[in-house]
Amino acid sequence: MLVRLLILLLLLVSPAIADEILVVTGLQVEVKDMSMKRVENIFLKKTLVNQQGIRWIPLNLNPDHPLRQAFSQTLFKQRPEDMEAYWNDQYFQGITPPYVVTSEEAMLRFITSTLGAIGYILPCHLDSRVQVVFKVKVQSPVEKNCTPKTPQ
Amino acid sequence: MFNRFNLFAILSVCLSTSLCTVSHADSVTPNYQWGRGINLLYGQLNIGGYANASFEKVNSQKNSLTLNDFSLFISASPSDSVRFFSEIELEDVLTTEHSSNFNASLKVERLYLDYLATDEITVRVGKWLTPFGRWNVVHAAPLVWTTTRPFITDELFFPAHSSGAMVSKKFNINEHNLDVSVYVDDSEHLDVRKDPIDFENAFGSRINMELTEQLQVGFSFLDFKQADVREARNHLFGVDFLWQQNGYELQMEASYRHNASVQGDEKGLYIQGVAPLGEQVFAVSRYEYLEGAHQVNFTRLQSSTHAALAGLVWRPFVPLAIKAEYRFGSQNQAITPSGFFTSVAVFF
Repeated sequence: MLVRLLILLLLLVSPAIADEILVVTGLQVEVKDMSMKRVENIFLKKTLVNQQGIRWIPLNLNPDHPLRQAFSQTLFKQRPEDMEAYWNDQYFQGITPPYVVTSEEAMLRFITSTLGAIGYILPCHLDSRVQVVFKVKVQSPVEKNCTPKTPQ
Repeated sequence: MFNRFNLFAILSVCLSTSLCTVSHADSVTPNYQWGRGINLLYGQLNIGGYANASFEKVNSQKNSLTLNDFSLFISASPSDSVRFFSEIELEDVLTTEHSSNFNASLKVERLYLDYLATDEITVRVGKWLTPFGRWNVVHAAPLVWTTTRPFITDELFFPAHSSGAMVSKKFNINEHNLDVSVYVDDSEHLDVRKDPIDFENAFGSRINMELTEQLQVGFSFLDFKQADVREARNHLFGVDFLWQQNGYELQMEASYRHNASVQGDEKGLYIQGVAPLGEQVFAVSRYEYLEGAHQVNFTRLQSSTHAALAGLVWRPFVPLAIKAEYRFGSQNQAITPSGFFTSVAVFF
């Protein structure tokens, strides 16, 4: 009983540990003053170009991907499937949703080859091809989706 | 000052020359998605649109079946800093009410170029939907919750289209967006297919503030002159809000039009609520109030009108909306007549 109480006490006093999602761009893109709102505006296509005048090309993972779910819930306070009404409104203004890629590796490749592309990955998948421009703290345990790197 | 030929010449030259310069060599191939159009030219060109058909059973009028809208969108991003958008529409092209006239039905709803001057400032030149209130700028049938339109958003209250130039700036205040737009209109010289109820000229502004994730408020102002229905200048003031959470929605717009001449003032509002019932079915209700001197069918009408509406909307798929509603009221017959309205609207 005492052990259980101690564990409960420890859980209560220890700070909640949040996982992180990294927002990344190619190395050529100069990014200043990135904030949560700026990231939100880029992924909602409310901001279309960066401060250098280069068009943002935001990328998404599939709607059921755990990383996409956590990113959407944290940034937009909505699940990806609940964003469709917003994208209907934008379609009427000639704006279509971000491109969808099938994996974080596909996202990294797209970002590397396309100026202005911006996406999100787990810290464990970060490498020298991209730069981190913002860190989004999420409450969902997304780091369990880390996959071991294969030797190249 | 622009003339009408200059404007359309500039738009077409910009589009034709800059489409040739593809700046991103990304890996996106042409693809079509229902409700999102077809992407071409490495995603730099999108073609889509929407259609809407309705059936109306209005008191003391003949029943009518109409293909209200068949709209084609073309949007292009010829370079990083330039966006082109056009919406060409066939309006009421097939109807049981009267014989169809293809030429009269063909409308240029929107035709503009956006210059993205910075990440926060956009300059628009061309023809666009007048940014007064919320309804007018998102009035497409698949987006709105009802077949009928609130009277204070109707073209008889203020012209739906503006032709000229607009500057918009986005501010970030405490991690909330504040969007400010200022525009000038010279439809008399710029719009080749101007309707009699359109602007002769105007200037206006719009402010939209995101107070929370769920709540937005807006303020609109218009100073305008219409050549054929209101000869003196009008001043129109509007306030609106939109609250959305978990499928529930509450939207309100209130407007006051001031006119110093004998044409008189008018004021009105609508408030509309939406609630999800499950299985993509939503209940919608709306109350409208209007008082003052209205322009209806080119005649002036002094009245105090109340109208209410109750309806259902089924959205089985994202791009599709099937609606049915009943509207009733007092002293509303000339302005928003009572009756049953149903429609099917789809993005393609």
